[in-house]
Amino acid sequence: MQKLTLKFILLFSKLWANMGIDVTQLKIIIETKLIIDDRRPLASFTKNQNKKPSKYSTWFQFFIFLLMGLMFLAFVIVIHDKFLATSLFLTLILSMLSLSLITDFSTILLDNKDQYIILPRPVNDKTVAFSRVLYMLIKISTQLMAMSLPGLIFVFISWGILAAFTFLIQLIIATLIAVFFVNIFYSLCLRFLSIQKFKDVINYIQIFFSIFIFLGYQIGPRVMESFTEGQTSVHSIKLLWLSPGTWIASFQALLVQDFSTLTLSFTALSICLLIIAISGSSQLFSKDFNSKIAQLAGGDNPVEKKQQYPEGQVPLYKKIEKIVTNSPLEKAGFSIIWLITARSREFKMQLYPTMAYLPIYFIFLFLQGKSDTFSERIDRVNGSGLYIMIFYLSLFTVLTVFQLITKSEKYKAAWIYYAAPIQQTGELMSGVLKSAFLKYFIPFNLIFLIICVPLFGAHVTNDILLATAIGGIESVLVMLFLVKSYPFSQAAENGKSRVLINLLVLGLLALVGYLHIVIHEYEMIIWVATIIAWIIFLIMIKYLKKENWKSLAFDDN
Amino acid sequence: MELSKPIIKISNLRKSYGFKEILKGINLDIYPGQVIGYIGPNGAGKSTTVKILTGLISDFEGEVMINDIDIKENPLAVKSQIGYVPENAELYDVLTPLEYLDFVGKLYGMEDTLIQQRAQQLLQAFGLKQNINNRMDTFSKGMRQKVLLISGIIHNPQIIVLDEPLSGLDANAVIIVKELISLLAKEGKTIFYCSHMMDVVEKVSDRILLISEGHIIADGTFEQLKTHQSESLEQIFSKLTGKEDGNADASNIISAIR
Repeated sequence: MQKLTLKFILLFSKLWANMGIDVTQLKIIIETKLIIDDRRPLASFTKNQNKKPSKYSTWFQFFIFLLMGLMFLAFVIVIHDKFLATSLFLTLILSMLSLSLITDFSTILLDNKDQYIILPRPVNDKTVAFSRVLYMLIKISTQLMAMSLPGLIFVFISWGILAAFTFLIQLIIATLIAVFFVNIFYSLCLRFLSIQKFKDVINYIQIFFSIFIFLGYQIGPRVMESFTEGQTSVHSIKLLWLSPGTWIASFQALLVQDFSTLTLSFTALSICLLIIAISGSSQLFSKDFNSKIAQLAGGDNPVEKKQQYPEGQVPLYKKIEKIVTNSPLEKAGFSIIWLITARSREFKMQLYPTMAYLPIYFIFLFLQGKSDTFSERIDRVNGSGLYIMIFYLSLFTVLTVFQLITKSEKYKAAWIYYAAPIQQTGELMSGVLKSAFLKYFIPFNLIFLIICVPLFGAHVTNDILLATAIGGIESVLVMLFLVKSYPFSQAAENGKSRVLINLLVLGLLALVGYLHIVIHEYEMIIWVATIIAWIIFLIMIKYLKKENWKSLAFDDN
Repeated sequence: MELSKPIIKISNLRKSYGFKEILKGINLDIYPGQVIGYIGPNGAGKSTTVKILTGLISDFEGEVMINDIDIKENPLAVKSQIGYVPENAELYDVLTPLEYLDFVGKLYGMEDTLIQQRAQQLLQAFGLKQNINNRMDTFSKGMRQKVLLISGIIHNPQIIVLDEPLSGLDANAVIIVKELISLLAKEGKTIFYCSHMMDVVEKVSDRILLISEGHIIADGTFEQLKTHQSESLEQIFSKLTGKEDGNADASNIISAIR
């Protein structure tokens, strides 16, 4: 698939050469990058890297994007106006592509290895920049295929071959525009923002992305309803005029002989956009861009930062550590998690978006339904037990923490685990668990307790206690079965979307939350369940300590 | 010194990766207080030996006894007696040196107060007192290397395995480390020093082991290894590993790009 895309791109070699790009160099750079991707970093202190786990996950990813494509297809099926249908479809595809390019692909675009390997060689900036763009294009092609395949097939069957061919071209244009504009976005950001600010911007976009998907869950069906009820068209929905997806979609309108000024100007706009995208991005990438990326290499925090602890004062984490952990090994696990999660920008960048769901859900809770006064709304939420859901959503954060703590840019520093005489890996891992749990789960529940008790009454206490224990049990299970390596000992993988796994985890949490809601009116049952859950949780922690992770063993290859 | 019991006893050590045999039967007795300079060409089996000694690799043939403990049977007991600083080792640099040492110390099962006390003293001794509460991502390579060296000795190990410990250190720090090595040896610690820097090995070690293609081909003091008075360790090295004619190699390179 990837090789094919590359071949396709190289069909236009003449055009690229005219733009000042060295095609031979371009080809070898991209080919080499693809080869490197195939051979994941063989981290010398990790196990099971060579067993090709990637194949399976690639297919899984493909499947999920296919589902997403089917969801988009729904628009094309239920909306009869072809122009409107393609507008919506392409707008969705464009936004999905750009967002995942910005969030999941930032590591590729900002890869600073180029700095040491390619830049000292006589390769011009345009070629370097273009190779980066094309590389992204190739990486995203799988995702694009999966998302657009259902739509394409449907269009082919019910609209005819000409429409399908146009549709295909539209998809390609949409992708090109997405990739190029994301690149332009990056280079503009890098030009005008400091490195630190730039990383923050990516961070905000990621948060926006999460919220966007979450909103989609909530309002998608309603939007669909309003579209199918009335006879709407692109001409009447002015908001859609702003979307490049609509501009590209105008080709379909031309096919059905709609030659209105609006359609024609949209067509013109989309062609202009494509030209601007291609020429603009090769202009914008300059020495400046590359030198900025070089600065990115300078680690997390280039400024000297003192960790100020006044003489003799014990930092907070040490105090907590004293209370909750016993052996030195457990303390080591506890402190490494506590400290690095607080400092690593890489980690925070990936974690914070997951917290965005909480306030949004909270707001949605109160906005839903048609009751008028505030107290009516509270009564409704209270009666339905929907507030319980938020306790489970907060678990999402801690589960994400477990996904993230094994990964680090500094994964090579993990040699120390293998040189040290670690008797019981379970001891270490239970410290890790306690740290993550206390730092990223308990605070939420305390806040909920403070907010919810005055709002809904004291009866929520047992709900929170039960949710906390179930959260604990889930954490231990995740720890036992999914956390397969030492903290911060694995290389982060390039361009791999975590959004999908997150959606699955969210779904699972929602299910558990739903079960809790079903029984929420029976206070006694909740109390009993709470006690049982806590006992199970505490026993499991004891058990965890005795566990010896086989997967943590040293592998020389 | 030869009368005391060997602290490291390697008998008939073999290790292969697939069909490729890296170590072809190594026999060694190393005594407490010795500074072993372990040298050899790239790919000769140096780092494999080190990985076996430090308990990282356990599927080898032969016997490795450290302080009478069989490393295959009880790798953890061996690990706790060894201080190891790998070549080009990385560390978690968002931590401060004190926090990192605290972490490492605890992995070795040390208690809080002892770690604090030793870490403070060692950091001061290495001239890092000023930076004790700074994150290490602001550190130079030499400063990081010092922290790594400290992390290798903080648990007071019997045996210290150093792999290219001087890389990135400036001249002053090199002097400190060389002195440190001889002081540690006087304390009765055994040092296993791997390096390509022949001039340093020549000076710090009191016994030089030369490994080539999986065999130990030379074993003795620098004086013993010399056949002529004027020879340097570098010359002995290239003579014994069959690369005596270094000049010819270099001129071949020049003719290739001409």
